[in-house]
Amino acid sequence: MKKLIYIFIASIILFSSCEDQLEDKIYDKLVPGLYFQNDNEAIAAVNTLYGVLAGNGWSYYGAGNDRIQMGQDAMTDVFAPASGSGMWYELNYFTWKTDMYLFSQNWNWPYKGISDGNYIIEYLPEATGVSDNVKTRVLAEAKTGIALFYWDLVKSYGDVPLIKSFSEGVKAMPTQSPKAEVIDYALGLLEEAVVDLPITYDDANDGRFTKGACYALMMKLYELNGDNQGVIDATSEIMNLNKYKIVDNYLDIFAPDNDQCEEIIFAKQCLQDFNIGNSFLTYCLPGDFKRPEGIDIQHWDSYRARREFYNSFDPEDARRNTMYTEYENTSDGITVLPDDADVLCLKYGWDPAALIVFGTNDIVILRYADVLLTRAEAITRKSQSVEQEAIELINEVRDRAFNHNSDKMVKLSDFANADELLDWILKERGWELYFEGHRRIDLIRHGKFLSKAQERGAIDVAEFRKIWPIPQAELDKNENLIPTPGY
Amino acid sequence: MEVSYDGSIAMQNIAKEYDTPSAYEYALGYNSVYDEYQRLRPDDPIFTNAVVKKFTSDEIANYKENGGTDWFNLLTRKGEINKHQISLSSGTEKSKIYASLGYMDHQGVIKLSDMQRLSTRLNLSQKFGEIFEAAIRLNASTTKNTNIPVGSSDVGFSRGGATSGVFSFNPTIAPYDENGEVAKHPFNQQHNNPAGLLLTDFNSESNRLITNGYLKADIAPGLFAKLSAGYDKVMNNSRTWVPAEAKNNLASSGEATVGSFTNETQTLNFIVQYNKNFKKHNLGIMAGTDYQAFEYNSLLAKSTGFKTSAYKYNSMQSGDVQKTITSKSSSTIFSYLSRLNYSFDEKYLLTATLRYDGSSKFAEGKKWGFFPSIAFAWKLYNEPFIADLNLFSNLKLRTSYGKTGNQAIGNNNSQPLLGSRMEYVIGNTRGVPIGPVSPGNNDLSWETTKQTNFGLDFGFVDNRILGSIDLYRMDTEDLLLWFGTPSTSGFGGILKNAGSIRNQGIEFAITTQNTTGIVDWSTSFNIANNQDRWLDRAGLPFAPEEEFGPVRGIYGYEVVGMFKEGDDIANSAQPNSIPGQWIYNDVAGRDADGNWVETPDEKINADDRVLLGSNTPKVTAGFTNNVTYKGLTLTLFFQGMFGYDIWNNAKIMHENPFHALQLEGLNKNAFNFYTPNNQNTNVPTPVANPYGGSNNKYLEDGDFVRLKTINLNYQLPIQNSWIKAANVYVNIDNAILWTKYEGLDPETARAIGTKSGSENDVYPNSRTYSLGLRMTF
Repeated sequence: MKKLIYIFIASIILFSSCEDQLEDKIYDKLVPGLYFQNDNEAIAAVNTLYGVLAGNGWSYYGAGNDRIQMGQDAMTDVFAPASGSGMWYELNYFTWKTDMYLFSQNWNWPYKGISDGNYIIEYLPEATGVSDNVKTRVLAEAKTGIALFYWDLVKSYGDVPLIKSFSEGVKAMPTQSPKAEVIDYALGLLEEAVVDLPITYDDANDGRFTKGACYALMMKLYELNGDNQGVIDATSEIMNLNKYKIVDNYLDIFAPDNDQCEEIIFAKQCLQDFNIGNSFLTYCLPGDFKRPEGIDIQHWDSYRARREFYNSFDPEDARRNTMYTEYENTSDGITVLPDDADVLCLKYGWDPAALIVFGTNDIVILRYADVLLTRAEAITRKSQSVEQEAIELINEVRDRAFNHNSDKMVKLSDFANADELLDWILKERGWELYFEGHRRIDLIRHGKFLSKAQERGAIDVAEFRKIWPIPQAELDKNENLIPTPGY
Repeated sequence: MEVSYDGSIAMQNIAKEYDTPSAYEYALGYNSVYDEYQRLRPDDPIFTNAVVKKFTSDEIANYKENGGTDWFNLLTRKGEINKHQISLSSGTEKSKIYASLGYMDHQGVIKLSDMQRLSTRLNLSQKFGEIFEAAIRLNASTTKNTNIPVGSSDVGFSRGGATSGVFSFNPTIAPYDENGEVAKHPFNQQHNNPAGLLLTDFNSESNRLITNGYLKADIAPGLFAKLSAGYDKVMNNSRTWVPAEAKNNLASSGEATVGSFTNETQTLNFIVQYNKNFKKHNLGIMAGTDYQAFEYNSLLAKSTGFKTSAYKYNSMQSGDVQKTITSKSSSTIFSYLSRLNYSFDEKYLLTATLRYDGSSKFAEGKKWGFFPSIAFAWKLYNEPFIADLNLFSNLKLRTSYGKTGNQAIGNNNSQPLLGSRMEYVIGNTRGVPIGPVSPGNNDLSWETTKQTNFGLDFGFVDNRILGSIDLYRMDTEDLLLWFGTPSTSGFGGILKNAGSIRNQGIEFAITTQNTTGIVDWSTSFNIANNQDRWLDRAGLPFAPEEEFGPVRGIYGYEVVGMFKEGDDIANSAQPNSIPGQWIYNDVAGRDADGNWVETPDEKINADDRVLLGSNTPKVTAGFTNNVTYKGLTLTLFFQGMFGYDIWNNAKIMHENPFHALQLEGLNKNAFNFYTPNNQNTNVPTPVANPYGGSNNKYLEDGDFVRLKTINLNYQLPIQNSWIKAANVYVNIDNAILWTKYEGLDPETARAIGTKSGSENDVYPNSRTYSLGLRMTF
């Protein structure tokens, strides 16, 4: 028996060192305590926000069906699905349901970005190894990113949960906060960030949030809040930066080399690969479309520009030049689309570097023409009269569209009252900004979202469709969320 | 010394194929879909945008004459299996040796799916001196695989591997164009031509080495100590190539990957055991420690954008875009073990165990779990009052209670982690950011199961009838569950110990020796009933009224009928439906505060989803018969599962007539869709229902009985100085299937995931005919 005890003790000694090995070893990740040791790590952290813009590569500002900008425009009068089923049809004909991928992806990714931004705001200030100027800029970028994510959430879903802290957000089962409160919070972040962000970056940092992006987001948020003075002030700040202008050629804004375009205030930067490319054209090409020499991207023929919208353009309007009623086909003939067929819309330019479906054209999110038209609208709404400045702002945009043809400019006398001018601004915004993700919210603001749907024979036109449904999966996971009424 | 050889050759064919239409049938059906859809939706963009056209009568006549493409046939073939194994064993009182060499070559029923394996085994054991015994075992194998992507999620094939791809193109489309190249889909390149799969090259090679050994010392009478150590290493190398010529949707410029992973396990175990018998008492005590360490390393290199298809995966640097992904993780388990056996008079048996296990996977301070168990058995047959009955030849009553722990989760779940995130582009340069990837859980610990068992073993007629009955209940607590967290948390979910489930059931097994003598016939039958249910759902989503529902419940809408011509649809709960669409059961809604209430609200939405069924079989059974007559033995083995449901996902995809307008392949039955002239059907109209979703119309009873094996063995009447025994056999595997399930096979359908079965993406089940020879020298 003694021997047995000796052996048992010996065995415990033999293995006692093994117990130390119960440590949870991490090789290919980091624990938070080891992070934010230097400037590069702080920058790598804020870069998550630019990565989040493409969601999982396909969603949000990525390359797939559930892109937020097309999801917004698909519900409007500028858009037509190529086919009679599937999500594009459901969106355009008002039969979408809560379980659509579009709604979950464009909810999940902005909140992921908010969480990432909050992480930086919570942990970066205490970091000792990061220099003050990098810290200041990274914090300002994080705040601007959070504001952009809330802008997308609020314009789509109305009242949404407001998450102000990373560590509380992880545990929270939040309910919705009123839209106005969320907007005020985002505006507060932008007020702080705008002080610290530069007007421009060196080439290596091109694409980050700038002062201009901050003001443009303020403009968008004030507009959502119906705060005309806020819009006027924010747009004045942008104009005072003297950095942005209406470029000469409309198509240049969407060309493969648009990353230096002086009209763009903020864009999602793109390169020719999965997760980081611009897939716009692929969705618009019919199967028998003959691509220009040297271009090898796929044809998914998912949607078009609605024929009625095409017909609404002045034929001399250069902005219509992205649209085609006929095209050269792969059998070397010409396919002429019938008069009632919807038209091809190739808004982003051909990119010889494009791979599979992915072009390098940066995806335009905020640009100067939008600033001018938004300002014109705010001035008109505020004054409730037809002001010369509003007319000039509109003409600054039209001047490019009609190649400086003064006959095509609008005049004070064209509009009997503010309402007529507002109607015109809505049309002008359509012609200028179609397929850039603004149309849905523009129609709602002008009270025409539902009537336009009725005009095209949408199936279930009802008030509740003005707001995107909170995704079903989120309702299932968090019972404090209140389902969007009507769905 | 004994040498034996076992070899067989086999042929395989696919047990059941889809009922797909011919090109002629498809074209006719397509036109009927077109007409009906146009009648219902004349202004639909599909017509105004002229995306689709009807088949002309000339085309239809041509299909009737010349057939079309049988996509299933294009991708499948007869399978073949060749197996050979030679083994030799030899030994004395002090030393034993066993060695074997095996080879297998399998050509699968889907083209390009092949496998070759070579395996060898060597076991040695030796006693030396009076005290020591040592053994070494070595097991090495190398396996070469050639694959074809089968599932839709396989690398680079987002839409369709071999089995799902069969339906992405319809039979009127030719696989190759006039230049002999893989044809593109007429208008939608999101569909991959399955013929392109035949140009791919997916292969891998897996090498595995398992070695272990022990040293045992008999220290004193009844007392021994044993030290065992083991090492297991899997090394896998894989290469994939999708050429541009395959016309794959997302690999259109050629895509190559080269990958490898290693999986290592080290074990070290030390036990001391002491046995003592005195009078009628038998005592055994064991104590020991056990250590296991696991390490995983992986490397994947991916390259796309090739100018030529000449290099395949052999020149990764030639692709325009290259990526490398590596990972490493490890875990360890350390345990203290002890066991006590005690029996008295061969009648009463007691076993008690104590385990104290630590796992690196759990949070600091939560790593250790204590798992005791106790079992008691009463050999009633050894009691005179039972033996005297002269009824039983065996009778034993068993009962046990114990706790066990589960740590089968991935590594690194307890700590919050930062890691690589989705790429960004800044300054026209791509980069990989670092950000939060896991919220961690500093409470993560063991999942425990408390199991109570009662059993009875019995035998009659000199054990010619042997059987057992077992009743069990397992309550599992602190389940290691992946909780989807709200997206507002910034994470998809968190692994938590939460909730509890109960499994309880009864198992019955009986073996009877029906006849002996010239005809020797024995039968085995077993049947088990298991019921699983939630005791505490711990707030996991879904259906508040199903708090105690089945663990793998299937939820969805309940169909109560189909709208017919003249129904008052406008005043139904689905005012935007049309005739020929499902009518769903309106069961619930929301109150003024937005809370779910079980009151119909005249509206069909997600609140109306209900429990439709369960994916866990309630009853499983097996039935074996062995009949031997002279040298001939026939074995029949039946098995079955009952009381569960399967999503027939293939039906959802391939019986939707609208898909014809996207030129997808369909099942024949899809064309039997609802029209005013065909109201008595189970296939809805081609116009999509604006309400509902997954529903019980596509949930099928998975019950089946399978004649799994027919084996006929003949022992040749040869026995001489050098042949000890010789057998030839024929075997049919998966011979007959009886089921009401309408898909291919309820068992392959179950193979996907745990939540619900689906057969859209699985390798089809085959029927195998083999002929074998077994010889011992």
